[in-house]
Amino acid sequence: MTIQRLTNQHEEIFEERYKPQILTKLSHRTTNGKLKIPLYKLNKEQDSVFRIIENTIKYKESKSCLILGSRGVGKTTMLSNSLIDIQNLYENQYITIKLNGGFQDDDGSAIREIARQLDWFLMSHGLTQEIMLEVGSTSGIMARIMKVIDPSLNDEDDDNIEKEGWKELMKAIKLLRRYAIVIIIDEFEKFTGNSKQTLLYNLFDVAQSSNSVSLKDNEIGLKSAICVIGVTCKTTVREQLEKRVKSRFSQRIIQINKVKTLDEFCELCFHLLKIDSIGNDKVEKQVVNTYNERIKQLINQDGSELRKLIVKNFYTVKDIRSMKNSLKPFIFNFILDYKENDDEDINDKLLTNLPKHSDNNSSFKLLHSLSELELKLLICCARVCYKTNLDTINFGVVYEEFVQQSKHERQGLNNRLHTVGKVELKEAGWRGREVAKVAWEQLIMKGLLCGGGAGALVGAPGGRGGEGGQVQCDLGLAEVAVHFTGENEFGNFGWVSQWCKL
Amino acid sequence: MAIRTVRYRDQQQDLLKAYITTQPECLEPAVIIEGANSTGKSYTLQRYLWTIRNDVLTFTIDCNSCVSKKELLQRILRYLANIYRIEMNESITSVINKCIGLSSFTESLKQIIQLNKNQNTPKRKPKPKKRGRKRKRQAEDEDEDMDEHMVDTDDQVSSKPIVIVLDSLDRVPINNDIGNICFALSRLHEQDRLFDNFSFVSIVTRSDILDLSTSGIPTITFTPYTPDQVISIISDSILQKKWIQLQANGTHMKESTMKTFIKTYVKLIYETYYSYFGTDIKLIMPVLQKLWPLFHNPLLEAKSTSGKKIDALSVFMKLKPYLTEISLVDQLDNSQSDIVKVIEQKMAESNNQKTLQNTTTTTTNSSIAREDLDHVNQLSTRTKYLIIAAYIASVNDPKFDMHFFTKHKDTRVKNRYKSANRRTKVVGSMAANSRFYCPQAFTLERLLAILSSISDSHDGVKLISDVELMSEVATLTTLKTLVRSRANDSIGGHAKWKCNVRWSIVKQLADEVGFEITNYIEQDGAIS
Repeated sequence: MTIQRLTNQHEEIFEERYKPQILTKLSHRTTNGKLKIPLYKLNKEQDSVFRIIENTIKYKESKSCLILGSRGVGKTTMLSNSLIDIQNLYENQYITIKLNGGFQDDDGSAIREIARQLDWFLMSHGLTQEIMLEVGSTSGIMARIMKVIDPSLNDEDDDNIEKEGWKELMKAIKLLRRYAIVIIIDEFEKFTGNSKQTLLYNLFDVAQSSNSVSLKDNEIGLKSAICVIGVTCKTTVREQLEKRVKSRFSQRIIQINKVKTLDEFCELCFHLLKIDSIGNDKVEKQVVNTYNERIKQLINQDGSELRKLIVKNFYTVKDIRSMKNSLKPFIFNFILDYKENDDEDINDKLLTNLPKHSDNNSSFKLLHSLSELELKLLICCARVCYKTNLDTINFGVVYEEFVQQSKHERQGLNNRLHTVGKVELKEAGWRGREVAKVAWEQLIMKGLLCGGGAGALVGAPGGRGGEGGQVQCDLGLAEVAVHFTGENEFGNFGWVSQWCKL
Repeated sequence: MAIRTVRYRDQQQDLLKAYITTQPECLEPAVIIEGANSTGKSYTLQRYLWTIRNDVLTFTIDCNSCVSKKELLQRILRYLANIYRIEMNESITSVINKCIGLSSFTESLKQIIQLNKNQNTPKRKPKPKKRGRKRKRQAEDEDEDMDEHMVDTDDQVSSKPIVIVLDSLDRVPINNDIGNICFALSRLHEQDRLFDNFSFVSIVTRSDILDLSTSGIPTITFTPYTPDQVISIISDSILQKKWIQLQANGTHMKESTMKTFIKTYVKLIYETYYSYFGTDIKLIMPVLQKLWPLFHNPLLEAKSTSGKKIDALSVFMKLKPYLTEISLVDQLDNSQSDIVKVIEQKMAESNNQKTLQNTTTTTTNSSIAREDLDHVNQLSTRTKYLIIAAYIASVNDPKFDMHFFTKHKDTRVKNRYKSANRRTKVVGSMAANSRFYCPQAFTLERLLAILSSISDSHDGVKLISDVELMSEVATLTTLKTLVRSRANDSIGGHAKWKCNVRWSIVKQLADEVGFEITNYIEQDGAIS
């Protein structure tokens, strides 16, 4: 296909209008619920989530379900998309409460968070002027929340009926009951940690029981309904639920899987990168078509950097988030108007400049930042661990090994010098204990020696003989040796292989 | 393409531009920056944020000074209130103080954002212009005008993306929770639409300790600088025009020659201490500053005296033996020690010694450090024996005293053989001998007994335990040659002593008095 010559106008339109669109799709902010993000092959799942929520709002049917899937497959985005659709259809008919196991790590804080969000809803809609629900103890708050979500509880049975503000509270609760409540629990597995699982029990119980209550048509409007949606990446989460909780859960599970074949993965990447909306203007159409064609070509063309990146990702981590991280700088620097006569697409070269993402231990990345003394001490740590079969070591033993090793090195050097008739060396490198202690502390700070905690620092109180506690070496001799072969841009590291030999 | 402002960091700057954008919808909710010390992580980020300062609000929290998660989160809120120009009254303080963890953080944050909105909302009402009022009203009018001005800025403030930099996040002493904080903050935008313009940039030494590899937070890795890059960066940073002029003023050098001189100086000093500092610019810079007078003074002197030309290499060659001394390297990171003074003193002493050596034609083939030599020469023979005895007491196990200092040679040989046998049994598992961690403490009685034994057999003069001997022990203690543990216990008799002299000096002393010390050391091969 011949690609039309593009003008500056095309480039401007692409830069100003379409590039931000693609970058938004590639951002991790797609879960904020502002924009509807088209998802690849998830329409069915999205539809079922939509229907669950819609039924709760429209027919006051309480529901519960779990969305399972590994990280980055689009669980939260799919849910946000459904909520956007719901918002368009049923505005002001429901309340969304969002919980996240990362923030609310126990039942108490989650209960308070629910109350807070309900209070915010009341105040932001001008229904009340002050905090009504999030007052007092956790059990009191829970009781109030239950009154909101469970209409079967009789208001007249309340012990606090005589208390001041009770009437206002009941008024607020009655107001809230008019709305369907959608509770989204992200990182759902965090709430299964405690033995009682009180929160989950109560929520699932209400979702189950209120569903079974049959009401007349004229009562539907007054009945509250809740929809509990758990989102998690732990596939075994259902087994973690306590028996009573599990029995109250509706067992509705929406499982989202990663794509299975490379072609699908390529399609998914194209889906991420393509421009969806096409304007009516002829120039805009040209821009969109040219861009989409070019991206498709780069993805499908054998040997292109983009294809290499996709294939590598597919066969290693198959992680779309990591893919997004790599693609974002690529699109950020993408130039629509590349020269037609060039053999290679200059955009493809952009990917070669990207840093190579290695999922290796960070210790390897830090190795080249070490000074010679630090590196020697680290090697000595590995030597001592290897020789003594010990897991933990301390500064004294390592320093002793370091001295021995330095001495050995000096002797070897002297022998060679003697052979060629040169003057012998008297000193070899730094051997001051104080200097070595500083280097030791640096290694601990960098995490290359770990498990020591504060006591591991040299001279820390409580350390053995004032020379620190026990630490573990993060690297083995072979691992260090592999990273230093001969001379490189960081200097000559020929000695490393000698030190790594036992 | 925007201008890159930091050298050797093009890749990282490109990534920063892609992840931290000025458009809130493209801005990443969280970014991790990882890299070893002194790789330019904070500097590059700050320079980049400076270039986009008109479109993005930013503040940096130094996590080194945060002792807990609570303090870190409260500090974020306090800085935010400050950015929103919210007056720090009791109500806002109580809102901030309510934040005790991540669960209450969102609530406090929401309240602060809401306060900011409320603060702005009433001010948006159009106000009639008031001119020509009385003086009484003038102050009020000025306040209102100020508020009006604030409305515009505050309005911009609330809509702009806010980038919160958490510098040295891995230094917060809540090791297990850092990953959780990082993860939760990366999902903050999901909690409420009010949090949609926040982005958190965490700067850490290594990202793997956060356990966030599956969370997909973009990570920018800063690789270490190469030695050449370090030299170039340091040279460029100190080669500022004013400073060069200032340095060149008192000398015969032109600015260009001065530049070359300084570049050579940086290269030589960096290469000298490379094995100690590595590529850590933060460590090398203070040393360069400290040592500069040693190179600059000869230039000044040369101008005032002969006017002959001096280059950095010749100055360096003169100073080299002193610069590479271990005792000096120990002091390099000590900000209080005056290295220049120390080196100058040593140079003067060395010159005196050379003169002395020339006149008396005595030859000493020692490799002991000069300051140690001076002390050694001043000691009496008995003091030398005292030090030798202290060293033997420190190194040898008391149970071998019997064998070393008794006249029953057979027992000695036999037991030596036994102990050697015992030692060979543990070889292979590398017996970590505690004696080599630090000197062993010994009692004064043991010291005197050993002293008596060695001075009897070698000196030929019987040792008299007189007041003078005790005063010598006291003098050595004052000189820190002997160190007394349990210094406060002067009555209990539990005081023990340690020898604070290294092997090379003791060997020198022993050679001087003609004492074969190696015969009395339990395992001489491991000592030195």
